[in-house]
Amino acid sequence: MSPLSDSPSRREVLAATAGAVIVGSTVAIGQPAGKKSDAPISVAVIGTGARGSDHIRALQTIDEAHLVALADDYELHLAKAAQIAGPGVKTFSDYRKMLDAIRPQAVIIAVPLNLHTTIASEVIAAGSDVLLEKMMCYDLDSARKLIRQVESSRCIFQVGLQRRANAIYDQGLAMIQAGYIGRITAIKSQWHRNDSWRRPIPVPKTDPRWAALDRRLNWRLYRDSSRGLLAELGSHQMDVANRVLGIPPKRAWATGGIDAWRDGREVFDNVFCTFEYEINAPPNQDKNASPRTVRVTYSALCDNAFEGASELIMGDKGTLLLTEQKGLLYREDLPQQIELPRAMTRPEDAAQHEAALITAGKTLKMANDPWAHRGKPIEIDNEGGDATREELVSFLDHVRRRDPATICDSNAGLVNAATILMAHEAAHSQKVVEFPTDIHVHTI
Amino acid sequence: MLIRYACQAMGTQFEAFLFGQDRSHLDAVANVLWEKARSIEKLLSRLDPASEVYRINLLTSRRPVRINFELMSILQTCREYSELTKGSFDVARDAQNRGADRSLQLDATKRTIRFCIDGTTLDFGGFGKGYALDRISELLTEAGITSALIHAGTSSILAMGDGPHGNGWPVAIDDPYSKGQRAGQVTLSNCALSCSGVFRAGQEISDIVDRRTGQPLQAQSNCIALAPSAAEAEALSTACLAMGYERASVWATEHDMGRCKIGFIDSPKRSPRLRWISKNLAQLPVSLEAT
Repeated sequence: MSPLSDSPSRREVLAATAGAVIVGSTVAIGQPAGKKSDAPISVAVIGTGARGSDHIRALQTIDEAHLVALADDYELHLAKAAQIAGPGVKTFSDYRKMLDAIRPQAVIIAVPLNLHTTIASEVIAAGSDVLLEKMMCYDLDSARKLIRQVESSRCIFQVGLQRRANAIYDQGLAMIQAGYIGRITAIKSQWHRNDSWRRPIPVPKTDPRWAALDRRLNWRLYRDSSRGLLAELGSHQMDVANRVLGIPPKRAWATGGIDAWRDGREVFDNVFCTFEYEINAPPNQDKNASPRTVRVTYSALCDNAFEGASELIMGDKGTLLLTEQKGLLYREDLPQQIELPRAMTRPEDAAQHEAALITAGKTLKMANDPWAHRGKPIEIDNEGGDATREELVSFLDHVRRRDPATICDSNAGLVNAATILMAHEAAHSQKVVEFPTDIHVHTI
Repeated sequence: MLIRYACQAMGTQFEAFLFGQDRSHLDAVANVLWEKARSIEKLLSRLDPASEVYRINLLTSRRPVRINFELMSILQTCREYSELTKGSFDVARDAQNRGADRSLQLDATKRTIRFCIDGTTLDFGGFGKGYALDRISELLTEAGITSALIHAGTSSILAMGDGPHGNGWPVAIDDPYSKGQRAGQVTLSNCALSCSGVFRAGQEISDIVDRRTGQPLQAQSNCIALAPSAAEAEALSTACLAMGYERASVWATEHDMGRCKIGFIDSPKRSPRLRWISKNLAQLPVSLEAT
């Protein structure tokens, strides 16, 4: 955007999108949909690695939550988590025994991907509500079964795609809906890092236990437990693309390989995907617009961190860069019709600002860096708190109100997983893969 | 082999110099170190809207707020340092920037904090980086790494082991009065060093505040603290800088300094620049050479 034209102030933007923000707010504050009690909800955590520990820390700060139990079959993680949780929280090496003994009202599941649906199914069968970490499933069939169980049991179910609880993303989506970047033309997203994506093993490589511990702690690197970078990182970002466009993609091309870290891992350390979205009747846009295709690219790298993690949403009027810590809105410098200037009949009229199109002055100096043309962005800051905490607050609120419409219900979780597994299959088969026709999109 | 890793967290740059034989193990360890630094930032930052402390600073006003177990134990530790230093170290401040720890109501059983004075905020600026280094060193120990030098923004430094040559990790001390000059050098073994300064280059108003008056410090000086843990070193250098050499000297004689040592660089005229105020250096595994 040109530095010469007026940019809308942040306040104007906020005012224009405030209504949409409230609709998209993660914490429902409307009338209770069901029974309501003031007693804290008893919560257990299954899986106490890094992510499970994040949940434990956050749960302790939520008045509505009463953390009662932790379960993990890996002793070292369980002991560390017990330390984080403090006294009074029971620990179990077997989650089934925990479910029997404790009967928690809600359970947070943060285990390796291949165990997601199995454990979630057992937890639901035990009568608990579930927050299941992303991605919902290792394979679609198990997710379809789980959805049927969620529906018949009427449990409250949420998939842990925490960008849905991040105020920056809410604000960004509201700005897109309010037309700030115009018609969406493309989305470019990536998560680029420069590290091995490995966790350390507490015994040396020469120890006979090393291989088994590596499989357990570095489950993300092995095919029988993981769908790789696409599932662990890309699922968050493709969820953003699906929400921005309001539909899942129709098809995907992808390629990837193990090129940087040939250390015995089985999943790709770099992957590049292109998704096609077929937009028929774009929401909030001209109903007569003809169908069109929007293309979304996604890449994940483990040997260059320059671009970091972000989603760049491009529209014909502007561009929105979203990250978990900050959003930046840039406007395109487009031709625009303006008011005719008043006729200058007397010389002194020229001094009046509104009569002149241009005020002559010393040369405006533009920076010569390659990004100068982008102009000054409107900044979106996170004023909504930690997304992990917010997703838990929202989940527990839905549990309390017996409201199944969580911020990421089982259907939304399935659509997300199907999007990722489509690209995963494309990368491995080197063929174009279509989105499954039997998945009906109720909610995104 | 000695490998340097770096990461930005807590508003500064962390570096870890890890000594070991297995490069891929060192790489994997570095990943979890930085994950830990960022997780502590998420807990203690007063600037990140997603942090715990930011949330507490916004919310708490005459109402108890539930906090997590880790933050409760940090607050209890900080209270001990506040009492030990007679309030020169204080993570709580009132609206006039005066120390406010004594007005905090901490309920360890209910795990709540309550601000009893409006306008109170928490600021772990003189504690958090050291705390992070201590937690990081635990991860290193767990991962079997016994030889490492780690720091947060050069002001908090933790040395594990005796260094690659067995005679300690060499650390130079900056001279705040002469750009690019050193005021001395120490070698550290299993020991932490913290350096608190009144001004960095170009800074006009100090971020270090006299907790008795709420006023920022005026005269340039640096305080160096050596201690067994990085959090302790940081709390002491923060407190003693605010006290100044004279008060800190008196304070040090009245208190059991344990295995800690305090030094000042507080005059451009003094040579050597660095002067130490306590005499229990022998107990600390550190050697010094003033330049």
